[in-house]
Amino acid sequence: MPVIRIYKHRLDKLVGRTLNVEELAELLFNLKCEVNIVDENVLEVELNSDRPDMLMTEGIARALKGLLELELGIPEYKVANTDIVVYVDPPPTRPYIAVATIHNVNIDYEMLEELIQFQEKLHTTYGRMRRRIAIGLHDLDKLPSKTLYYREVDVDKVKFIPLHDYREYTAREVIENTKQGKEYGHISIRDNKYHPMLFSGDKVIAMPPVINADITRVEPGTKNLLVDVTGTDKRYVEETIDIITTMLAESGGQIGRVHIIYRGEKSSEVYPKLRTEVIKLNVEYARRVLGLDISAKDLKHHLEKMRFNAKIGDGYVEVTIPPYRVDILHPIDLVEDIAMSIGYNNIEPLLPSTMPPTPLPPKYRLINTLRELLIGLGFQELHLYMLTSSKSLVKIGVNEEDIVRIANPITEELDALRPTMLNQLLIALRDNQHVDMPVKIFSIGDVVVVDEEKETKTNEKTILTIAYMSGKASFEDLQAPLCTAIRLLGFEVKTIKAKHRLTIDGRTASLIINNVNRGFIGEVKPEILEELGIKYPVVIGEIDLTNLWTTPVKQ
Amino acid sequence: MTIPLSEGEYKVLSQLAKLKKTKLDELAVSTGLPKSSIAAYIELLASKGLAKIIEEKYVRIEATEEGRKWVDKLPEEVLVDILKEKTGKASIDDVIRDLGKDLASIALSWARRRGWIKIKNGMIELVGYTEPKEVKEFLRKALKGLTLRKGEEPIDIVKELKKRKMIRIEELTEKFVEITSKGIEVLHKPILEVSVLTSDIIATGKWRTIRLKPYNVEAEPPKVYPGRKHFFIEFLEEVRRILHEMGFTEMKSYYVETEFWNFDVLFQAQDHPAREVHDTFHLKYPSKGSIDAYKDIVERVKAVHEHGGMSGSKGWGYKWDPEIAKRLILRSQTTSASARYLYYNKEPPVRAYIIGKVFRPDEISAKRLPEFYQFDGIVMEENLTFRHLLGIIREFFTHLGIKKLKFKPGYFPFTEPSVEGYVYIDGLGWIEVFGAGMFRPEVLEMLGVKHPVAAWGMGLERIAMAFYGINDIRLLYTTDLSMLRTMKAKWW
Repeated sequence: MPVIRIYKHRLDKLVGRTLNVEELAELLFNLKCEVNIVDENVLEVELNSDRPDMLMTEGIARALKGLLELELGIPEYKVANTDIVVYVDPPPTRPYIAVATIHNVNIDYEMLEELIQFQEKLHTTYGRMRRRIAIGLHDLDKLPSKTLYYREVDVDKVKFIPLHDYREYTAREVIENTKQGKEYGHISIRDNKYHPMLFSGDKVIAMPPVINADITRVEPGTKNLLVDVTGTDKRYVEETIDIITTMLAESGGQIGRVHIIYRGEKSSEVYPKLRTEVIKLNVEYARRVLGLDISAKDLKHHLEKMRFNAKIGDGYVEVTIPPYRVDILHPIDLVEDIAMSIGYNNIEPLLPSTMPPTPLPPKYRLINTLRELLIGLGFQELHLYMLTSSKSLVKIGVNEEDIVRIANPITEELDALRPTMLNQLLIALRDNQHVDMPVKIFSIGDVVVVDEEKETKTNEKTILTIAYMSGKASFEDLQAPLCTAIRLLGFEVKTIKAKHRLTIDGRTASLIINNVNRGFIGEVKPEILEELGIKYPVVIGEIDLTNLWTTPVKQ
Repeated sequence: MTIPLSEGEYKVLSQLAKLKKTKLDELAVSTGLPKSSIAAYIELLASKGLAKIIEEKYVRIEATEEGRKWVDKLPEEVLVDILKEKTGKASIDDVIRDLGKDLASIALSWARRRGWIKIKNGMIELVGYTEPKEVKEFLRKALKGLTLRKGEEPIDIVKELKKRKMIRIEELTEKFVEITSKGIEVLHKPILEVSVLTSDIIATGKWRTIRLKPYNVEAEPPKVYPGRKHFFIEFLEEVRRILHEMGFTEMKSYYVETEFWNFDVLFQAQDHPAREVHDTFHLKYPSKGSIDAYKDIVERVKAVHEHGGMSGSKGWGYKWDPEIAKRLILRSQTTSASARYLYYNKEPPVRAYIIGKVFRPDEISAKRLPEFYQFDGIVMEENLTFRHLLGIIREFFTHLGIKKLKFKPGYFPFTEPSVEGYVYIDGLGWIEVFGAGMFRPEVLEMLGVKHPVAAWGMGLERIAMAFYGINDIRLLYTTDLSMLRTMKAKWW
């Protein structure tokens, strides 16, 4: 979840009241935010990713003013037309653009810092790492021409000075040689040759979504802004320009409309649209979801506190959604805002009707009884990772085709889902050679093997893996307790001569439980012990418990 | 007289009674006990006055090089032979010439002392000769070395030979053990001291004649280790027990899950960041699953994602791709189980839970692991409200012994209203432990459910760590037996 740093004195100024830090933290808590106080003037605010309209102090102040009832309903924004025109020949890789201006914002150092932070956070969350949308900010007064062009260009045939640089690069050089180019240059390039570019007259002012040109750089002292939003999804491009312009106008600036004309003048748009939407919220619906007997009048008030406009109708409240509240998809989202306005901790929890206890499923009854018995027999239970290393599995002879493997493991040591716990138990033994002998350990858990028949292409089993290690350890040291435990569970068990890749021929047996072969026990081969670095003899066993709990039991 | 004897003491003493007086070595051989134990037993017996240690002194005599040289004929005898050759008389000068000055002087001195010669005016005269048989015999014996009890050696001979450097003498002490009369007495009526009380001792009635040796009961006992259940699994089982008590039924999903059930059904857009490699383990093998069995719901998922379908929502407004939905991942949440369960159980009342491993690509640290247990629960009732959601969560925590809860509005793509929950734990303060909410109308529409559903999910590691006072999550997976064997049992 995004975390932003904001200046408290800016927040106080925008809210129009000096808030003490505790009061502020409490208020923001009810707006889904967590506050970390860095110092008396700097706060770190963790937000939820559904509220891009709060990624800057201006947006937070707007929400707080509602909650504090300093302002209710949708703010009024000053909007005027400009004479700026953008001609668009839509680049196939990034066809949509929206442009708007903000006048009289008077950017100082702190606001600039926040503006850049806002841009970055929006890029990573809502912008999906600049793939879906990206924003460019320009000093309006530095614009070479009021006629803009957005189109694709040959990356070798256009040159400009990238932001915060002094050398002129071709667009290809920007992609290949700059940090930003290496990171984002692949997103919108076509055939390794064409890239979207925004011109003012004949000068490049932005190469979306990679970098702006230095020519329109925004700095402390900038008074008027031009904002471009480009992207692959028209809805998100339009929503983003609404979010930014209303945010920047919050401190008193005026929004300017920009005309977008598509190739051949076939169609045109004017941005920002600042489109509001109307949702009818059924009063009964809100009551039913919240479980509160709340009046339409109270609903209206809470909605206004959350900065919606609300009008009471017959059995419903007509709610107008401000353009920046892009998280409102459904009336249910308004219900949540009402709950937030009430305060979650002011809502009295209620117990649903009680239900009679349910029996513990046979699986857990069996496993828990088996654990009890093994513990009584002196075995220590272990809790092991489900992720393991495919290499160590192959080493103990597991077939590669049985192993579920991860495409993006965090480390090679944990690149597979375990199909057995034998390797993990052997490693546990290796690591416990310094403790008092004997070492008697077991673990019961789920394992996963590949199975093409299943919808998830895998099959899950519940198994028991158990081992005995001591200065002297022989087959019987494990055979005796294991057979005893299984018999005490009410099953028939016998051991019959078998072979296993891990254990010594002639000292290995299959475990036949109620006539089903469910696993093996045996003394581990000395060559395997030596390879693992284990200096003590080990008896090990693994049995499949899956559905043993549905097997009939001898009383 | 009752002097108790240990088994070892008894054995040694009775052997001693047979041997009377003996050396420790012999006692060791005849009892079959190691010499060191014998010495200890003898000390014990002597301290009780049952045996006596006798020290005897010996002299060890051995011939020297000088002794070996003259064993057949002493120097004075050589002189006698010379005199006999010269008809009984010779001048000192002649003798010195024949024997050398040193030897001549020794021979003359001893011959005179034995009274064999007279010396007058530089002339030596033989007056008599008797062979010193005893001296020579002794010297011969000394060639091999001989040991005599001190005081029993022929004093004059030893003195002479020692003076003439023909023998060397060493004094020795040897220990003997002898049973005392008290020892013999005790043997007739033995009281055995036993350290191990055996079944044989009880069954044969031997216990009447023995004494049990007192132990040092204040000494630290040796270390023993019980088999133990793993504490974290015990915690998980406690949670499971509480849920069954509250009327919940277990539900299931798979460790390897299609993105369809893990994300799409939960209204997570296909370009949602949580689905990317930073937040979800994708599979290299096998990589694609099947959603063919769910044609009806697949259609609804597509409609809801693209434009809201019949749910009354705007949807996400993009083109939904079934191929993405088929991709296999390691489940990143157990909410997929709730979705699967509701798909098959659409009628209230429903109370269901899952406790299961979920996986996320987090680096291993004291705070995070790439796998952890999640507990998801759902409640469906005809008139279920948001307040009931808060109520049932509060009830669950009450069962766990946690009374103080705090709710914060939150965001999850599949619930609305959404809650993030904090619990207060003494000594730790507020910790964030769960996410909850009412399933969104979009989710219910996709699943075909007509009734409100309250849902929540929580990681169990953090709560368990708070319970056990552990501050490193990796300890929940330790295989270090020295820790598992010795960690305190949590009973309070």
